[in-house]
Amino acid sequence: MSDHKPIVYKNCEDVPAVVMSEASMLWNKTGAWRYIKPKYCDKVPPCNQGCPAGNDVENFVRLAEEKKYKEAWLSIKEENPFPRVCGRVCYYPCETACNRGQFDRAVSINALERFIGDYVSTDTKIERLQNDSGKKVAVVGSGPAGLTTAYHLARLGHGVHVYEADEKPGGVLRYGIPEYRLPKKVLDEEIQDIINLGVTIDCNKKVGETIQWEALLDFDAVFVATGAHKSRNVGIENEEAQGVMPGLGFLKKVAQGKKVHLGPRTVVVGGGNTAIDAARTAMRLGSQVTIHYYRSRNEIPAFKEEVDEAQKEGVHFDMLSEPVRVLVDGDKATGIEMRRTRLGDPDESGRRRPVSVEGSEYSVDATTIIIAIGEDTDLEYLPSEIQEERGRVIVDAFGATSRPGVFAGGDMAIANHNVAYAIGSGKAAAIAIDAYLKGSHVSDIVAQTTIGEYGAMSMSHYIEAGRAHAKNRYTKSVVSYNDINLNYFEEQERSKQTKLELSERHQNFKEVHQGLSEDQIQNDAQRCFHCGVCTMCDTCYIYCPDIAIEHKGDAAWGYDINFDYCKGCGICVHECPRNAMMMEDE
Amino acid sequence: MRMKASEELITSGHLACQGCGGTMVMRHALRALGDNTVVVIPACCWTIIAGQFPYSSLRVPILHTAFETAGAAASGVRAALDIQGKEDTNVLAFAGDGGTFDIGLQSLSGAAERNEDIIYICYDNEAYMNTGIQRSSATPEMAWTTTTPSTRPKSGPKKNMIQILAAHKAPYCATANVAWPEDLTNKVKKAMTIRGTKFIHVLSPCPPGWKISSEYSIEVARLATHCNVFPIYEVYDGERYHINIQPKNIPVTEYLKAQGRFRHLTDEEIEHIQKRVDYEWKILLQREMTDSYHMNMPA
Repeated sequence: MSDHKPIVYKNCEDVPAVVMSEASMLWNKTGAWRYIKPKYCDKVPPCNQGCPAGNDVENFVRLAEEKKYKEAWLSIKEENPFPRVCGRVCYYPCETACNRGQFDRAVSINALERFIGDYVSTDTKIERLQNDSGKKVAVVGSGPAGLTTAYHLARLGHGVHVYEADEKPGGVLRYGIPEYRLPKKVLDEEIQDIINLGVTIDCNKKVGETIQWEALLDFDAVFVATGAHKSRNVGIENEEAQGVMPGLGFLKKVAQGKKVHLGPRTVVVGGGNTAIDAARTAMRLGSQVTIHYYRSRNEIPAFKEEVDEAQKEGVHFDMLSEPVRVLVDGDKATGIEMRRTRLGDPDESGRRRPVSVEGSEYSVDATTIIIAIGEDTDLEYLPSEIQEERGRVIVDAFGATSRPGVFAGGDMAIANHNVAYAIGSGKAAAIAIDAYLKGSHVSDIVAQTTIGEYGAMSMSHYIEAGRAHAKNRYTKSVVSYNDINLNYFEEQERSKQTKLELSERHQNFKEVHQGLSEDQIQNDAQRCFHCGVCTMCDTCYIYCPDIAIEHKGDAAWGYDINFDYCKGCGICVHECPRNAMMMEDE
Repeated sequence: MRMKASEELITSGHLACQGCGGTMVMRHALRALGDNTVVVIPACCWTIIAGQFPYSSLRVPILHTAFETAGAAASGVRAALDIQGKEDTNVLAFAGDGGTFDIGLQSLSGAAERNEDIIYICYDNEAYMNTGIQRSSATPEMAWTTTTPSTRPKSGPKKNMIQILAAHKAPYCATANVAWPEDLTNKVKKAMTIRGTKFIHVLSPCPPGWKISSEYSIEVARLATHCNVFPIYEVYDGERYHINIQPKNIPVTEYLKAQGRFRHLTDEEIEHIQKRVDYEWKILLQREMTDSYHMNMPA
């Protein structure tokens, strides 16, 4: 008798003499009792939403946890050509978004990314995804945005020619970020991966000087990302004196290996990341350094950890002070006259506005004065048909400018001047350029390629977008801390990165952050909640009172719900530690 | 331990309500026991859950028996198996709280006193749920049931069944909770290695009877342990106590507020329950610390 059919006794003789069961209850399809049903549904982890570069953070953390470092590296490289750079210089918005941060402390995602990048041998090759399309794209500027676009377009099968004004590629990564934060060797190796894909990087070619804009229009599409590298002037007396230099210019000279004579006392004016980098660099060159910033420590725009490191290294901070004029002896700067400020009402950015305190002027001796109060873009080489606003090229979410076929990204087009945002804008433009070259519209797939609500794009979602099975696989719903079932997690200490001893940071540019060991990486990868992503932890399976949840099989990932019997009690969804399931109406 | 649905000894299609804790107890127990097992079920929810004649939702034999007879019937099955030389076959008496705490207490006491080689699991949903939520002696103090309405809730505390079995000097007594399935299967596996009467008391949430939404079944059961209302521990030979799960010492109100059957409680009543829970927990800690009589015996 079949297990799945009710037994019918047609006459008395069929009934057994002893009251004894003859079949199971499987005929009884209890699924009919249900009015809502559970569903497996991967959601967006907050780290993935938080990453401006669009990394699938949860995925690489999981692969690292399984010690599949190469797969983890490939997973990052799918989205971002610079895991080793980002693992060093990114200010990790992913960790700020991490739900674990509200439980004990965030997972060390940044150090994990660095470990994965450093662990995997440089011999490992990145493959092209698509065959040669025959199309050619010009990329102007080889900073993080330009190189990211070049990398993704090359993987998508397009020919890419990068024009770089300086003698080496990398832009701000090479000339703005000092060696002690990002060793040039690391940068060179990651750029080599891009060159290996067939990208041509043409250095010492400055558009508007050594090559004309019109020449770029021979390409099928153009991506411009020349950054923001024009240092702002304070506009004070004697600013052009000898011994006064712009922050970025100073960092670039040091990066190029040129001799810079600072003298015993350096004053840095400004409170951004360039100011801090300049101060720490000057300190390493043997000068005594004081940073002057016209607001207080609370308003300083530089990344907090960098400010703290600078202070530990012996950089002095003179807050609430603004420059009045450079003091000179002949044409040589000898010091700077400063004036006290106090904090007034908040401005439109929410930070309190500095107000000058009249009569509080004082002078500071200095042999070198570094002005690092911000950088502007240089858009002069662009034709007038490309619209600009407040020093930035106007672009849409994918970097398209007002001229069809011309795209822009990085610092010259977006408000957040930051490596991860530049990488994200470069990727978005690569997606748009690929669609443009294929004659399709990105607007059709924008919902599918965007991760969460902050606008970061996913290249793997874009590549999958064309495939039927991928439709609607990705929800936009982001997992919040309250969605996590904390009963399944215990407090565990976060791995701490070792740093170079303070005594070893003088007169050299040795890397300060030393990264994490493999044991530390494992500890931190295991701390990940895997918000909204099924890890096959078996919680749903083991608690099902109706034995209606089953593994898909040895090779396959995930579970099947047997809706013949699922009564819709909802325990699986409620107990799921990471909110990778949901209930939906029948 | 991953098993296919077809390998489990309990099948889908059974007649338990949504979110039934008792069903989970059976599933986890049989995962540990394996198919060389005879199950004895007196009148209880499981009489219904297993399905009507001529069906069964277990892939092992069940002897359905009268309400008061689980201990006696299991003893008889044990004797019948032993005389056939089937001493390796497990006999599992599987009874609700009514059939254990009230109606079946004498036959269980007899079996424990004779130290019959059986495993007795009481899945405790704290009332006669199957017949319509009538109070039993396992119903917690001040809980609502249909026979103890919220105007006159159950008076007096829940009977301490483990103490009764420990007083019989049963070789192994333990409490368990469906929220910790691995702890439960480990205890059943341990019971299989011990000769004599093994008693496992499992808290098993009942969504209709406790007035909770079915998805909260596990969460409420987990709270019972973390609030010290239902501590998870073992007693060896009626003397040696061992606490298995360290509770988070959450205030008992968290557990009570989660359930409709306690909705009528006032702050003073909750305070009263908290005091009793604290007292019982302290006693348990003291018992755990006390050296057993056996340990002090000369070698």
